[in-house]
Amino acid sequence: MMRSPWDVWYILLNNFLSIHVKQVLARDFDKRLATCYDAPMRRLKPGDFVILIISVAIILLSMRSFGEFSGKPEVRVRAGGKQWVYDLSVDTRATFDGPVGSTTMEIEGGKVHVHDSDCRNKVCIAAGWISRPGQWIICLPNDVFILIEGSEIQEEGGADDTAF
Amino acid sequence: MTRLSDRHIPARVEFVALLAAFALFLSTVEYMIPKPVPFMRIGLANLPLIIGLGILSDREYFLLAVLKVFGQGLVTGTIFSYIILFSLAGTAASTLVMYVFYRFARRFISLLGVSIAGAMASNIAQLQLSRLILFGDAARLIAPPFLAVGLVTSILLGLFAESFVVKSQWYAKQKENRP
Repeated sequence: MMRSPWDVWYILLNNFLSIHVKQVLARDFDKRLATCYDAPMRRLKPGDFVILIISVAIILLSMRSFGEFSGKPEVRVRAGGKQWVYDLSVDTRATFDGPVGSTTMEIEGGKVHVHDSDCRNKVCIAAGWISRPGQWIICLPNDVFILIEGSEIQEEGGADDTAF
Repeated sequence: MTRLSDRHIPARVEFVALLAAFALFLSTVEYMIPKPVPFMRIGLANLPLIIGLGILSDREYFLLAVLKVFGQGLVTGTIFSYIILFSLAGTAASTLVMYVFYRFARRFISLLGVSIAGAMASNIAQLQLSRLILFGDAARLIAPPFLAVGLVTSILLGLFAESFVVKSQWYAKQKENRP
């Protein structure tokens, strides 16, 4: 395809302009960047960083209380169509009434077991102590269901249990 | 340098009004930006208060803070509801903290530190208030994101304010005229 002289001139001029403008812009941009971002950075003082660190510490602290709030293991008991929630770290004893009689649950030292039950097989008593989230005890004849809920991270010595 | 005897100097009403109008405008901009929680604030409207630290007298500064609260209430339409309490508590806390830090610790901190301290004070005051009257103990759940957003925006605002103070000729002129 033939180009007319005007086309050639146009292309040359265009190239020159674009290169030149780009260079000027780049130089100018560097200068502006320097004045924009260096000036405040140079004027920062040590107290700024102290305040920044304290702020981050406050946020981290608030996050920690956040974890405690949602991850605390709790004991959920369902008996006769009702639900109860107990704190796993508070020692208590509670009695639930079912179709066969009463079932007594005991929380002691972060562990739960069924202390006494009026059912025939006593399977729930034989289940022993449970302490970890996800573990449960059920007494089918008396319709009592005990479940520990919460996050596994709170569990002490959990890694040791699986490693050894 | 503390000036305790400027009580007889009248406040420059027009100048404070200019900065208050600026705060009103920034409140409008902030109100347009969508937020997950209605009172989670970015703190754009705090910019006049940060910049005003160096060019306003004490009385003018606190006058500007009051005007900012009412301006924000007007823009967001919450001026006659309990939500204005949040705005009031946040602005009061941040204004006091920024004022104290700027007046008495300017040798150790720049406007960046002032901005961060003000935002943290404002957010903590608002969280305490929301614990008292709105959420109860569940206020802890919103605390970390609330504080983190405030920290990030206050860092950006502080850097902007610092660079504005360094470069603006208008600011330099106003600083000379400061009563």
